[in-house]
Amino acid sequence: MEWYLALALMLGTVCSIMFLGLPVALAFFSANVLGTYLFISGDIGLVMMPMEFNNAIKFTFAPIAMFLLMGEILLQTGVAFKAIGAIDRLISRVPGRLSVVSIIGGTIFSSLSGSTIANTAILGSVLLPEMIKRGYKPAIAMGPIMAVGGIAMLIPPSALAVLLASLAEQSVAQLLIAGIVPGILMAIGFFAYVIVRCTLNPSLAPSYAPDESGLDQPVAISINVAGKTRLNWSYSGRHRKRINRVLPFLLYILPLFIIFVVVVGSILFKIASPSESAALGVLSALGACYFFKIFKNIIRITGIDGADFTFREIRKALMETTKINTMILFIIAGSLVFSQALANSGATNGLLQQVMAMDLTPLMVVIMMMLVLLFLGAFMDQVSMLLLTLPFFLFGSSSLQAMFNIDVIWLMVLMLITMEISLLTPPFGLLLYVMKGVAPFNVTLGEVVASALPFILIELLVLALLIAVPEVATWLPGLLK
Amino acid sequence: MRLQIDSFEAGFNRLILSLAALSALSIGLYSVLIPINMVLIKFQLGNMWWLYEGVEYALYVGAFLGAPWVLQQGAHVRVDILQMALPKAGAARLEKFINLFGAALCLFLCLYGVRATISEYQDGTIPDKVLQIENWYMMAIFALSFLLLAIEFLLRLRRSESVTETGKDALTESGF
Repeated sequence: MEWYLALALMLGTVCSIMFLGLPVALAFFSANVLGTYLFISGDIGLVMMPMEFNNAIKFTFAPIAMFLLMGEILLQTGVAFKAIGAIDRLISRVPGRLSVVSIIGGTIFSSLSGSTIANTAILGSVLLPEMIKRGYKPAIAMGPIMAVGGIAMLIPPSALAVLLASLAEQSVAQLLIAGIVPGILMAIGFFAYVIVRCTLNPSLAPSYAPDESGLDQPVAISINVAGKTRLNWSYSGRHRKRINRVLPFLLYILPLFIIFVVVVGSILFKIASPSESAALGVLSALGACYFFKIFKNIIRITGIDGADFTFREIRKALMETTKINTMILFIIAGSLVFSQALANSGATNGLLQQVMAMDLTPLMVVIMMMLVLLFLGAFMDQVSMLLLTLPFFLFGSSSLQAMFNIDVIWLMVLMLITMEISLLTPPFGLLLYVMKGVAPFNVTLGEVVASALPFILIELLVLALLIAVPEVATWLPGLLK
Repeated sequence: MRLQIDSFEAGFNRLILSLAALSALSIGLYSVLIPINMVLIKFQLGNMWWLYEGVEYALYVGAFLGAPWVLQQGAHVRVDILQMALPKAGAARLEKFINLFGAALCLFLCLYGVRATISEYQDGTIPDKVLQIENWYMMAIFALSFLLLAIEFLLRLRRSESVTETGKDALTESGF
């Protein structure tokens, strides 16, 4: 069979079954059945196929589950929400204050939950009503909530980065580290946009005095042991307002920052492999939650609620992790066998030869890859588009990356950013629809797109900067080598 | 008959939940064992030589045995553009078709899983690993997983007669 017919048959099968609404993993499995039968020794190939699924699951995928678990522990115990509350208390007198809170809080929440889609759904329904109540215009209220996922996908612990590097059989540690500088640049871009735009046009985000009545309360600390109060201390001096503002931030954010330091530091200083660092992240999250539990029962401080941390929360975190991890591994198993079938059919090689014959420069190839991802992101989630394109982009010595000798870490960072942008790209970007669904008022899709547009442009600017100056992404991982 | 199917469904739900709980337990277990192993190696106190390959088995077994529960929870990622665009009756018909197609596909894969299990059992093949578990066990898990998935698709077909699921919730709950 000609390579283009094989390609059309395989991709056509996956896409048509996917669009009918069958789970993505099973769409891959369907194409595998067809591809294995046609291109890998018929019936005997089908008998051997289950073994290929077994071989597809590797130890390198273990950090995904552990990073997810780390985030779930902090989400289920309510620590993530409390961290957003603490940020809300700390930030004052900034133009577009709530939008800034949503950028910082959203980044934390999104990196912990591992899902930008869940992040948009939850923050859209939690923060957006408050913003609208305060007179924020949709243009400045919705955009940051949808855009923060881009930062979370770059800054460790990014489960998508682990997945991408593991699948491409590249260094997970280097990719995790490579995302830091672009992630920070993106965050700076978002902050600058919100602050400048709200300063130029204050009606977008009317300034208001946040309810700070709680900050005037005396700072009271009590230590309770075995039901008895052992120590009771109160401070009502002139610094109480400042202490009430800063203390929750220190107590809620500092432990989260320690988790980040443990995860990134252990990789950066080569103390641990990515899987060990993810496991250390889980233990740190457990430690942080135990720390917060102390403030629920033993140490009571005004304005600090502590956190529920029992077996119930751990069990829920484990089950939620299983849900997402199974979904991902199932798609991985399906797609890896799919890429083998593609390779055996000659489709991968045929397409790549065709691209080579077009005499393109590596930069043109990179831009082409980005355009393909942007297009696919209009219809599907990141895992699906990643696994559909990986056989052509990154797999092995006959991929576009290898043939055009493109820096693999740089390319993967570009892919991460592009995949995130694609979720915001009209007309079908998933996040646009999730936001439209959860917005607490009648908002048109046009308004949602308009609010996302400036943030898409900022992400595109970061992407352009990375293309022009690859060192932005490659400098930090270069230190690891 | 209806009562019998209801009680079968209740038992089936308990079974797939237990399998998912096993998968969850394995994630918790290796999250704790990996740092312990790291400390053992750093302080030259020995190592759990079987751990990494054990985790690999756990990932495979967990993914395949957890999949039916994940399907039941509506957490397998789906592209629902077509379903959302269709009128309610059309969407319901499409949902039925998807469930039937899913059940047929899973039964087909289960059949080949059984054949692979028998073949591996007869050949007595073992993996190229230090921690060796005969391949037929893994193939049996593959077959069991797709059998359970097929049953879940059929139960969804039964449930979908009363409720049409759009899959939108699943999309907002899962994925990155």
